[in-house]
Amino acid sequence: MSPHGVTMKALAIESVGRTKFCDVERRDAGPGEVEVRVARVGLCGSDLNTFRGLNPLVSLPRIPGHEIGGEIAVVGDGVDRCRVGDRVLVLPYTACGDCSSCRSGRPNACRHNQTLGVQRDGGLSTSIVVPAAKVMVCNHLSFDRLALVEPLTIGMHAARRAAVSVGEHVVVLGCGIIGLGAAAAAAAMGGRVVAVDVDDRKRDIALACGAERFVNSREDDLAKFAAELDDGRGPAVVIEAVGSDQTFADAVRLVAFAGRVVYIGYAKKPVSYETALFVMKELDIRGSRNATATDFAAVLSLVERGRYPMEKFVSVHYPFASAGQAFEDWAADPGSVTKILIDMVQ
Amino acid sequence: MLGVTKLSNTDGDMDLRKRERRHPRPGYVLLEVTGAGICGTDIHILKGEYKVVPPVTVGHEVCGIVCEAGDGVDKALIGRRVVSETFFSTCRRCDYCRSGRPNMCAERKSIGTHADGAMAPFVEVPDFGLHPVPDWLSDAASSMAEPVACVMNSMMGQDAYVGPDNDVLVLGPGAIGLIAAQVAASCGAKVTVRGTDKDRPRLDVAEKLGFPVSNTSAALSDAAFDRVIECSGSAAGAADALRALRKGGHLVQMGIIGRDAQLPFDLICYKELTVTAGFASTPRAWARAMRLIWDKKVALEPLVSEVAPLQDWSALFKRSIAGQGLKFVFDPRLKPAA
Repeated sequence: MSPHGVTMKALAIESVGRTKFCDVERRDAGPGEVEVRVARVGLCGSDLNTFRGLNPLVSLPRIPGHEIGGEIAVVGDGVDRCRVGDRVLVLPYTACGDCSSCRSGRPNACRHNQTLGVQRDGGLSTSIVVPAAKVMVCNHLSFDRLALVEPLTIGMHAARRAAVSVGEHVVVLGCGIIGLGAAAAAAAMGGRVVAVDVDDRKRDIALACGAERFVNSREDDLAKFAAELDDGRGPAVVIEAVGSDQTFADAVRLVAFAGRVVYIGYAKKPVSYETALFVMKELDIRGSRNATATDFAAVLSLVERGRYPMEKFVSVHYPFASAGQAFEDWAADPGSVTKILIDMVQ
Repeated sequence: MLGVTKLSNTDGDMDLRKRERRHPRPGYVLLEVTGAGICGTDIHILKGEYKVVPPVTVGHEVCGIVCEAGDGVDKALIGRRVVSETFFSTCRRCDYCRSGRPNMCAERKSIGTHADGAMAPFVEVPDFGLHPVPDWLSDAASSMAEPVACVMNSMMGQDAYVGPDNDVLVLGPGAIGLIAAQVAASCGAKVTVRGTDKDRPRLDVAEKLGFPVSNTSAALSDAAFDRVIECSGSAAGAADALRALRKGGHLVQMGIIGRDAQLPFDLICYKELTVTAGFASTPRAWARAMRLIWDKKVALEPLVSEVAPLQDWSALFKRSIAGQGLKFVFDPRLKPAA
């Protein structure tokens, strides 16, 4: 019970495979903070992994949710960058300011980062209190769109880490929302994108994101296809957005000599590599973690210019009351879903 | 044969003159010219602001058909429709040549400045600088591969200088500006094109290509852009560029001002700006440019204002200087109007 005796409803992942609604303390927005009334929460693959007990960064119980669209309910003292009623999205990360990542201008990879819903409680609650600097005001966007921005920034960051140049061939492994965001960002940067997935249901949306080709790696010979790109040179860039030991190893095999490999996924076990490829091909192998404020700005700019098929990303809405069911349904058939949005105000 | 020839480095000393049609030396080919564009540099050459080795036929933006091949050249090239890089010869020994920057070679000889250029029925060029062009692209538009290569040299180092997180301003809506705007857009940037009242018809083309435009009669907001591509080649443009950039921004200087200019240079320090430029093109820039053209990522046909016979050279240069269009191209196969 809070000092004011005010509680609010939230959904927690209590233990592996189990969710539970609970009453949690509702904190007042302090100086420099805002309270955001949560309107929409997107469920991320990492939330699903938490539910399935596969997320190494999480301890349970945890309130999940870091893809948040909402509106400002209360502004704390000294806040002048937003007003009550503004529509906002939330930057769900923290940065310590002192680790090597933060000191080198890459706070997205902060060693001590705490993402909402992962290392600390997240957005599946009536409201959340965050520092005002962690919201971006976008009054022209719907709550659905606001909640979709954060997952798209992950792919944007990866494409920017890859430094995709206009005309380069880019293979994106995985067509979840992260891979789709990477495909769309790489295409927007002028890359000629091949999107790869094991599920044909991803074909249309991958092409709508700007991929030139879709390859079903279960049915087609991806290695042969990739080797023929760019007149037999292979793809200059491979972006891994699956997180399996297989795709981690595939990426360095598929990429061109002197190419770049960017990893977004978390392989769930150690990966065995032909390390000779690193040297022979003189690869640049780059991790890509979370996203920066610049990535958010880039995604918003592309959203404004209609470069994402925003409507197609949303597979289904669930009301907040059925959020637990959403996790169970998704766990039962992961390939059927690009994005589940929880409607918090319904 | 007759070629548009710069006779000395004096202002205006250019005329249509009889030039020798050579047989290509070993390693070289002769192109029958089907398109030779007028570049801003050609105008600087006409005015004597850009020095050449006279007498020399001008013209370095060329599309043509290989009609003769010198010793050691693949004879299969004969009959091919190609564009040519600008280099006639470089030393191939200096650090610049050996690191992919023959445009910086002290002994560089380029067509249209050191060696006879393309504003003539035939031009001799080395075989290593040839690139095939797609059938669907006209000769006049193909001749603009060279300015596309210059833009690629200026707008990309190892990586592209612009990206989807950037608001980009292109100053000067000439052919270079409108190519640069399209390249920036292809890199995912949000692009605005700016020009003067006189540029109105060119800004119309920019709008047709899908770019928002602004006019120099309206004030430019300070610190409103992440990247400025300066293609106006005016001191006012370069000064505007420095002011329009946000802190940490990047100026790509493509225009040549042609004289010493007074600029708010300290803004480079105060705003920690990056300023880069490209001089002509490099082989890597050509490879990137040709890829862009084949992939249809730049529209070149809308930039062609007029195609004319060589005999109209004076009128065409005048219209180009007056900015009454975008790209003026000679087709030496055309007969002058009777």
